Amino acid sequence: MAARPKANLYALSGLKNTSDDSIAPYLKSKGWKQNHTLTDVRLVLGFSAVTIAGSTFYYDYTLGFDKTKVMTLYAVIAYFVINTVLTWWIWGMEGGKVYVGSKDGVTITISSHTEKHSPIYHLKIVSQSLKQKPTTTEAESPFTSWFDTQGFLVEKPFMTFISNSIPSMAATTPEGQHLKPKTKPKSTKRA
Amino acid sequence: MDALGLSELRHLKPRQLLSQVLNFALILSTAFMLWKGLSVATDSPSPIVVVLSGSMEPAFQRGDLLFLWNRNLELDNPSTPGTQVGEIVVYNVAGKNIPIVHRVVRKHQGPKTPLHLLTKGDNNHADDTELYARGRWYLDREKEVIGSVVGYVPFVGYVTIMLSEHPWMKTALLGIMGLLVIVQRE
Repeated sequence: MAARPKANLYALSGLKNTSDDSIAPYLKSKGWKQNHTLTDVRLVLGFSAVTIAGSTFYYDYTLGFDKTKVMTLYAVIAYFVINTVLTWWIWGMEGGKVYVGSKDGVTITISSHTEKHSPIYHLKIVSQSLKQKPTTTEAESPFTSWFDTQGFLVEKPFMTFISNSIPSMAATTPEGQHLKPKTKPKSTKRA
Repeated sequence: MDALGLSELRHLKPRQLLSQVLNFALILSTAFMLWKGLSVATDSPSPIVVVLSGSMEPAFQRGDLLFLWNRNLELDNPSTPGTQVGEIVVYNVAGKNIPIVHRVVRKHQGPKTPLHLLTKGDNNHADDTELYARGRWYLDREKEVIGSVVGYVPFVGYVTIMLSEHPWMKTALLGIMGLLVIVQRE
């Protein structure tokens, strides 16, 4: 496994996933505390469905079909109900969010997306300070800004992009002050 | 040590690993639960079977996939017919897990007492008495028959025959699937 993150330059999903994965460690090093609730709920839902399926399999295997018929019926219904909830959770709640974290009373939610066949990384950052209305910031930059020709993610330009995109960081971090931002964050109130 | 913290990526993150494992497990359990759901709906322990022999030719060939329905016993209601002579039923050879697909040629007793069936393959000379349990001349519809055939798809089941005659293929197939799901993140 490479010590530096590497992605397949030709696969958009690889570029996006590698970039997404790099956000959390960087922010952690800057003192942000990540909130894992979304992921944890998904894991709990998913593994309880798998446990239901597993125990159905076990009881059916050991006791035979006739004895376990009624239990299997309830298990099947429960499984597909949980699966539906899980699907809604992934699509509706988690959809596109790659990082949720907080620092000094500011909570940010970062979502990323890419358009089909377009090598531009779009970020949407919802930033909420205590007792204030949440603000939404959007930023975008082509992947070529931080991937080198061999596919390695180069840390400095990526971190500059991230810190420039997060309002509370852009004002204070050294990367934000010394380097001219490549993109202008657009502040919108679009949900 | 990389002061910027990105060297953490070298180490496996538990949540990410769990998520990948979950994806694979969900595929397996959804397939299994769909099978179980069908099983409960048809009231048959094995709602889809593959024809293993040529004893029902020309109606069914080896490798055909059959869909079973096991809710037509109608044992308590004399006015509804239940399993008829001429229907094709599936049962397991006494003590073994080999499904036999043959036609009902005679029936006895029922509806208030256990329904007894005599079966015979279309392409066989003799009836099935030799395949039944020792000392038994008929099949018990409720206890031994796992369903009657309500539909079929030709040829598709040949994959299952190959998988059971070469069991290593099953492991290989599962292994490849698992690898693909864990390595990809589409």
